[in-house]
Amino acid sequence: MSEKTDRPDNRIIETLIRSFFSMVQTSRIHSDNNQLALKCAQNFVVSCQAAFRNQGELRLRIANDRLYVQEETLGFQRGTVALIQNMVEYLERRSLGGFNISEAIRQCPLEEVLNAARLINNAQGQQDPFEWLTSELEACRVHWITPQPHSETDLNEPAMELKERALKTYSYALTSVKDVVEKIATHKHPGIRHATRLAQSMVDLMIENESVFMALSTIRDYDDYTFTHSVNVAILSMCLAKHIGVPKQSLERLSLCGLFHDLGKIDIPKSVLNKEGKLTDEEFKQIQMHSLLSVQHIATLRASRERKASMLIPPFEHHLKYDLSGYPQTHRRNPISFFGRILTISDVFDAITSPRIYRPTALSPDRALKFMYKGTGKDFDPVLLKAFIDMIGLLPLGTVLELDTGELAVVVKNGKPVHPARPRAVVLNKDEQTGEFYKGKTISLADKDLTSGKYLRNIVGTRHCSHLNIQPVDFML
Amino acid sequence: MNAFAMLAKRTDESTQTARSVKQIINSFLIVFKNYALYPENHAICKTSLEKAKPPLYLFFQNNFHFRIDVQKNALIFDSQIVYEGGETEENLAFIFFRDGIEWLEFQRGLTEDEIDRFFKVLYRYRILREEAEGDLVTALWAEDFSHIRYGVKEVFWNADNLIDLGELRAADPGQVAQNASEAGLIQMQPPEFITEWAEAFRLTPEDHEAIKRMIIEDETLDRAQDVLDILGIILMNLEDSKDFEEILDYLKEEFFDTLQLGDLEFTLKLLKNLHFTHQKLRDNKPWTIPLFKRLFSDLCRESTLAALQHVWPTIGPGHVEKQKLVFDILTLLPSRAIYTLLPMMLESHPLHIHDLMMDIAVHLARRNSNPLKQFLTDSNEAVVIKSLKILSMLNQPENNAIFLDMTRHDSENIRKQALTHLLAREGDFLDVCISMVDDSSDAVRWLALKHLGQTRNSRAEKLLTTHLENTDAREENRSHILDCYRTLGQCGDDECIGFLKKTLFPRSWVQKLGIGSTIHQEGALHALTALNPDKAGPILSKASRSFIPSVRAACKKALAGGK
Repeated sequence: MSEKTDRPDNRIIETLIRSFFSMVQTSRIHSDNNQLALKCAQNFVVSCQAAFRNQGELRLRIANDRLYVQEETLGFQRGTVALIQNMVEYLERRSLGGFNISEAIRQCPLEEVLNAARLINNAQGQQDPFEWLTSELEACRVHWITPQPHSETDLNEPAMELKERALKTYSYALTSVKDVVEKIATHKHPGIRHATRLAQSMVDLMIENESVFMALSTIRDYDDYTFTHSVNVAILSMCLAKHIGVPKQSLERLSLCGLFHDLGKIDIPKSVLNKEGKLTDEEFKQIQMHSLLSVQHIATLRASRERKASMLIPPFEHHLKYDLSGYPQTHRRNPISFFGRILTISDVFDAITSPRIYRPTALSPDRALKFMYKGTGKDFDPVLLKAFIDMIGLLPLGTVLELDTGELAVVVKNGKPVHPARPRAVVLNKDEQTGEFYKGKTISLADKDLTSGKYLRNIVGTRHCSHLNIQPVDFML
Repeated sequence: MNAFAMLAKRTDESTQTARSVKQIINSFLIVFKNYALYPENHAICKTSLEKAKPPLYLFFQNNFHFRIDVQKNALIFDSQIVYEGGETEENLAFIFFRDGIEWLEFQRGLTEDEIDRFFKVLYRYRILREEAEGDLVTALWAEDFSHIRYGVKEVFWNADNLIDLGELRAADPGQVAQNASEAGLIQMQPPEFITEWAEAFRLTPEDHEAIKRMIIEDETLDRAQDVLDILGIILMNLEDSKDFEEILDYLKEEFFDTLQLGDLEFTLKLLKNLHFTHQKLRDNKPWTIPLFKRLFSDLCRESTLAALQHVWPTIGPGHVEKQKLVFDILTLLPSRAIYTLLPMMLESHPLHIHDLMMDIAVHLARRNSNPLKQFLTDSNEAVVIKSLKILSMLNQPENNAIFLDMTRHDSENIRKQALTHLLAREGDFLDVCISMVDDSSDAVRWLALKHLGQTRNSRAEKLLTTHLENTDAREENRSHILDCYRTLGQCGDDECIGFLKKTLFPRSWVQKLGIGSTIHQEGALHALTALNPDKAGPILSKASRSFIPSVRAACKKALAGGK
């Protein structure tokens, strides 16, 4: 919630964006002489005037899923996040980087403003939307608005402050879960104040920048899997829930369910948890007890009964499959709860993409999705799994790509919706002396050679990050 | 406007703003202070809260937002300290600081409801408990105010206790070397395939509808039953008594909360589940028996059943279903619930509630009347009387001894109630009654005599005759002696005629002269008037002609029906 005091006035920008959307939408339906359409155009002009201040030109840009006005990012406010995201998506669909709007709009006839809105709408689907729009505007002698190209250079780095905050939040999350676990292990009854604060921060961070937040879920800890797994499950579950429109307050609850879903593992000996080779029946029984034990530990946290009740069911169900197979097997035959089904998907995805002591080779994210899809309708809720794949993309963030150029690259932004198979990625450069990888340039696999029209790079295959001993997040943030 | 006038105007505005800010802060402090002293709904709190609103609205007439920065013990407005206090939870600035709030901003458009909710948050979290569920920041976040913003610094974690992400290893280095070969490469599907797949995974309108339904369902779902089921399953599986106890504690809270909320059906279900689990585990896990025993005992405690105070007012005379649910819930508790229930019965309740409580108490006492019996030695007369009433409704002959015992209680009311209940039961209580005709209480004596005089009964006749023979004709006993004779008239038959005749016509000269015997003579005449006229009539006639003045006078009185 912290924000700079010298921020641009959010309210004016908010009004401007709203009026922009009203205008582009009405211009789709109505002709130039329609009163409503003209009114919308007029509102847009008025809101532009309010935003000009003394600068004579208004510069709107998108980068890193953020909207920049006069080169400054807007202060984060929960209420306007959805609006900003709509604007970002609107421009991204047209492969535009933004607009410059000049004061000439004051003298411009409203019909012309509407016509420009229509052209902007129509830019979507054009071969080169920026070129097309620029020439169309020129042809119509519209000079008060200048489209800006989509700039790759703007997109390679989230703001440093955001990166640091994201990593710190992850670290807080790990520390928080560990803190609760340690207290439970010493028979104390921990409160959930810290965890709640953290869950709320996670929700805010996710709303502010979903891709940065999701990038955190690629963090792995080979030596102490349970804590990173808990945090990753929370992150993935929250992202899926947000993707399908779950309200904010419920995201906080889901986050806590994710963070605490494996609390019961503290009662299982590490020798069993990390055992290489086949588990005995007795050991397997012990493992199966962990979801029950998680619920037991949640029930003993120091929080109101209502609060605890809201967190008990999904952890209980997280190893139950959609068809109610899995464990624990009980007389209860109720369908698995909504959050239980979400948690199951995130839990499996993180588990099979994480190398473990007893199973050093994990699946790469893309392969994991294919594997999971085999269980749709049986192991997983088919609609939610579909939504998960839709959200995460077939080449999820953190996937290590091997390219036909011989380069290795980590996916940092999936190519949805235009180029799902051609994401943006950061090239991994190898230090030949140490053998360690460091961050190279950011590329888009959708980029083509301008003369031949062929793609500059193609994907040959994928690798799991553990093969290279890298944390993808180091290259993504 | 010249420079001086502009300066003067600016100075005026800033003075006005400073005054306005002071008013806002003062009114905030008053509300905060009152919240520390009185319950949230107290009239004083409400009044001070109402008074805190106008200064803010006045401020918003000229300003877009009211922002205060927080320092450890002080509130800052526009770089000026506007409030300062000690490092205690009575200091508004300190509690903001304690939870990491760096600044607060109230914006124009702030609604009264938002102000109310803001202070509710302050009220709830002004004192921070150890291992709390939340704090000011979590509560402000949950409220999601449209016109209140705040900045927060994380206060829990510092660099020392944070896990360093740089230390985490993504993989086992030994394995890395092994896997870094071609074997680690997974051949990629052609891009067209991925594009097709991506299309296949795009959510359809039907999927969106299904998801919308899931979300609505989840938002409106009552999870209570599921939670109950799951906790039941966990209890069945636990092997550790401490863990077991912790779940029982959770369920105890659940019982209290749901009862308080008036969710009677669920409370009943919860209790039935507990009994079910208790029975199931009895043989396999005998160590659970004392734990359940303690749980059920806790459920009977005043602190738990206090929840009923919220339930009673919601049950109307016609709410038969609800009454049955309450009955079923409370009668599933051990009989010791009477310890809590009985004092509750002494409070003022509508008749139908009192009757309901009585039914419950009787049911519980029928199972085990020992808890009820313990109340018989209570110093509170009303408690003892209520216990006697419940005991009387048990229809257990073995309780007669208790009533008999209680007829010797110091309290007149208790003796009366004990005797009333005793006499309402089946059995011969004439001896008890004769022993009580001398009771210091008019009411008790009246009850005893009424019982003795209920029917013609030779044993009662004999007992009364003997009693009267041994009763001194003292003036202070006059009323009592006359009542006994009247009762004798009601229960007596031929047997007492001789005694009455002897009383009426004494042989000794002393008696004939009427010294000390007039009360008995008068009483005997009262008895005779109530007896068989064939046998009593001649005696009465003789008495009316007696040469002894006192006999004549008594006869006159008795026939007149006077005393």
